[in-house]
Amino acid sequence: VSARRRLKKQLQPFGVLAFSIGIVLCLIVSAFAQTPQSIFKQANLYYENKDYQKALETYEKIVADNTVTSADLFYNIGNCYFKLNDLGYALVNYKRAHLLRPRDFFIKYNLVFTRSLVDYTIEDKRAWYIPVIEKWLGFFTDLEWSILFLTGLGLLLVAWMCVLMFPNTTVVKSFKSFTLMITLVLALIVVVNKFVVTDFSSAVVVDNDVKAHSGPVSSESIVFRLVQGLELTILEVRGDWYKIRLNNDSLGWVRSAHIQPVYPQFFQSETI
Amino acid sequence: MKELLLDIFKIKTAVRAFFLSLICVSVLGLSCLSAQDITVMAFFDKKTVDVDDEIKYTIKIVGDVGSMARPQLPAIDDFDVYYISRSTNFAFIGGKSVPEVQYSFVFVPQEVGTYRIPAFDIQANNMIFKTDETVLSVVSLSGSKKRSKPYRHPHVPSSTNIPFSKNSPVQNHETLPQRPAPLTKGADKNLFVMTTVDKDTVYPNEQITLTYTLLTRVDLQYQGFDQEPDFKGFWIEELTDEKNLVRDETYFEGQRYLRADVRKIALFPTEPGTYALDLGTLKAQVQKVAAPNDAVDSFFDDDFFGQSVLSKREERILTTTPVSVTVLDFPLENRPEHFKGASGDFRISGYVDNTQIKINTPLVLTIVIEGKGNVETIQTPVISGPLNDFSLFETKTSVEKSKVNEQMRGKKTFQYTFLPTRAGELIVPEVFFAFFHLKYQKYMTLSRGPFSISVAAGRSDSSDQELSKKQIIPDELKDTIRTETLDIQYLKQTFRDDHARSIRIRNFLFLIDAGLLAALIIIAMRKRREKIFASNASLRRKEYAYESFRRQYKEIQKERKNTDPRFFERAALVLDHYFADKFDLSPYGLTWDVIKSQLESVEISSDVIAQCDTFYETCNMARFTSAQLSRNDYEEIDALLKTIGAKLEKLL
Repeated sequence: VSARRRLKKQLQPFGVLAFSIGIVLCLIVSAFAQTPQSIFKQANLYYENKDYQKALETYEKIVADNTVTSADLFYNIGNCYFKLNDLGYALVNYKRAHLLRPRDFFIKYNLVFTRSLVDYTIEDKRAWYIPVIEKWLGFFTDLEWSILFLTGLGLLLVAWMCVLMFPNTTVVKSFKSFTLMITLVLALIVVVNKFVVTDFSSAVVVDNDVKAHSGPVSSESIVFRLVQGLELTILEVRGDWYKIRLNNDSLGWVRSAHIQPVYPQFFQSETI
Repeated sequence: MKELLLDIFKIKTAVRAFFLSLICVSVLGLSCLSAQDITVMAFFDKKTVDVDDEIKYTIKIVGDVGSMARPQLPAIDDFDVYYISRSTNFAFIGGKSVPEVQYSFVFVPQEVGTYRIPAFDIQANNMIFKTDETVLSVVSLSGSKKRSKPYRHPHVPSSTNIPFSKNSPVQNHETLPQRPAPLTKGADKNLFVMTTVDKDTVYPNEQITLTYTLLTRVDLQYQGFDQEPDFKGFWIEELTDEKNLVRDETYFEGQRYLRADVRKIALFPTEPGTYALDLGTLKAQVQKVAAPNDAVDSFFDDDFFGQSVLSKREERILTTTPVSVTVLDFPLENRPEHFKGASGDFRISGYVDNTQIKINTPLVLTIVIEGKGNVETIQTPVISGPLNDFSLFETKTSVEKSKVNEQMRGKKTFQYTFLPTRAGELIVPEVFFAFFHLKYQKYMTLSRGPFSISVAAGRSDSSDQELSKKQIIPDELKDTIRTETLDIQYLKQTFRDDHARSIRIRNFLFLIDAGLLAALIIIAMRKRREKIFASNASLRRKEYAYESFRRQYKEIQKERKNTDPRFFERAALVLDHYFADKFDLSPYGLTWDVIKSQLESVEISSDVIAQCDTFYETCNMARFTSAQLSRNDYEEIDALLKTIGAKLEKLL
């Protein structure tokens, strides 16, 4: 027993030393670990020094990590593509930023400015109410509408409690009716926005002189041509071909390499 | 004794002398060793040089010299000498890393002959080293014996003063493409300007991008234009971004240069023809080596004070090569009727400010032409057809220009002000704009309109006319601030995770709502219970019987503690009240027999009934007999009461 104790006593300093080294190593690693914020600032420095390609690669690192979904990040990526004279990808990233933060002035400005540089325009032949609904419901994001609905629901519950506690008060009853109406409207908006309006299949043309064929093979006749920056909707995926629809109701098949979806995660599978 | 002392003194002197000699030898030896570690070399990069050509002279010091002043060259006649740079490297000699310092100079010979650059002293580590004598032959390959000095006296003050030093941050290396005759004959190969145009055959109003590129191998400060270029016959737009002048390293004809595009201009020819453009001259200052006998300069002129404090600079005028540009005439074939010389890639839009107006009220028709090209020279689009029903007062134009990737774009707005001359349904005729599409090499005609206007008859008294006169120049037509460049908004400096933030807020609200819902359910249940109790008093008594029992039980604890005999009376009453509430009876006049029968009717076990009986009997005994009661009796009755209450609450 005494020999074991002696051995334990002799080994004790080594244990303390190993523990201390471990702590110090952890501190060093955490001090030098690159956080998304530090990578973002590094990318900004590249951009300020006009090294747009390097800046883009650095921003893309944060996106690839898949831990952050930020409008600022997509906005800066859009700026890099713009400076690299790639209007298609710039537009895709501005659209992503706009979906995440629809009321941001700078994002809206760059989106509109980039759209104005696209050489061609497409007449919107959709039903008149679709752009109106899109415009009004697009004032908030899906999550923001959910938050508004939950706030309305909370107020409705409070109003209901007040009615139970003070049943004969007119103000309380009016408050309950008002909150009930608001909550129902918000619930309707959340459902419409989630399942009807939100266009997960929107995409942008990223190359110039893209041929749209009448079928998903190159030998099919060319029905129209597209230029970089034109916005469209993906209807179907077949192999490496997308069936697309323009806002003027033109339909065609385009190779997927020429199109960049705004929500790429929805196009991993074979069909939508 | 005296001799002995003398011997000792001699020995001491000899020992001292020995140690002194030893120290001297050590010091000398160490000095020699360190001196042997430093090597000085001075050499030209070639042995023969043309008059006016430049030759590089390098002084290389190998060894640890620490910080040392720049070597002072002796005065050499018939040569202009310029200091270029100092560089430090590490060389591996015998497995050891040895520092190596190089000072580079440029010699420009002025006369033919053979020159001896004499050996001169270089001070390093408080020691003097001597360079080798060097021989240099200056020949005249071009036949001229003496150069004609290209210097001119500047007459325009410098517009910019951009340091153009080798210490400036540089970008990626790239090699310049070899272009035909970029240099003027006899130009300095260490410092010159290249002028390039992106195309030399264009149509009128097609953009030509002219670039001035400065290439240097010497330290210089660019100081703008000495003589401005002459672009007669061209519309000019400045593309240079002076705030963000990019410098990088490049290779030209096998030599490394520091390069900067110091000026970029978009030129739009206005008329067909062949033009030889005089591109002007540029001005720069280069650093020249100070005279060695200047004591003050030699003190300050080292690397510590830097090259910009007291360094001597010489002004240089940089000439450019003229550029020839051919401007073709537009093709005659298919030339539209409304074509007025515009070229590029444009779109048209147009609208009237009001389609229902009163007579004598002005109408403004706005036509906007936008796209790639020079919008400044676009002429007013043509209104087709006669304007019988309108008086055209004025056409006002405004221009917005932008540069996107060195391509000029813009928007020109034409505002026509009409005054209807009669009431009725009037038509403003179609407006046409024709241009030559540079990409497709063909004419295109765009149009807007016609516009239908409903003009209502109105009063035509003098006050109305006065009012209409005031409205002739509406606010929309007044001058506004012009936007010079359109560009995207700048970077965001920080970022936040929008999705995660929204999810956090949503989850928080979800929890709050869940809590509120739970509270609402509890309140609703209580309200419902209260409502039932309000209509059924016996149920209420039964429900609250045990609660009442516990409250009364607590009240009698004080009497128990004080061993007050009234405790037994009150304890019996507590149980009476409990039974009365449970069986919906009056507590007054309640007897044990009644209670017992009630308990038996609900099938309470006999041992509980027996406990109740014992409790009542003990209480009565304590109340009505004169028996002496101990504290233990109080405790027993108290415990019994508590037990009976708890048991009955479970059973009833």
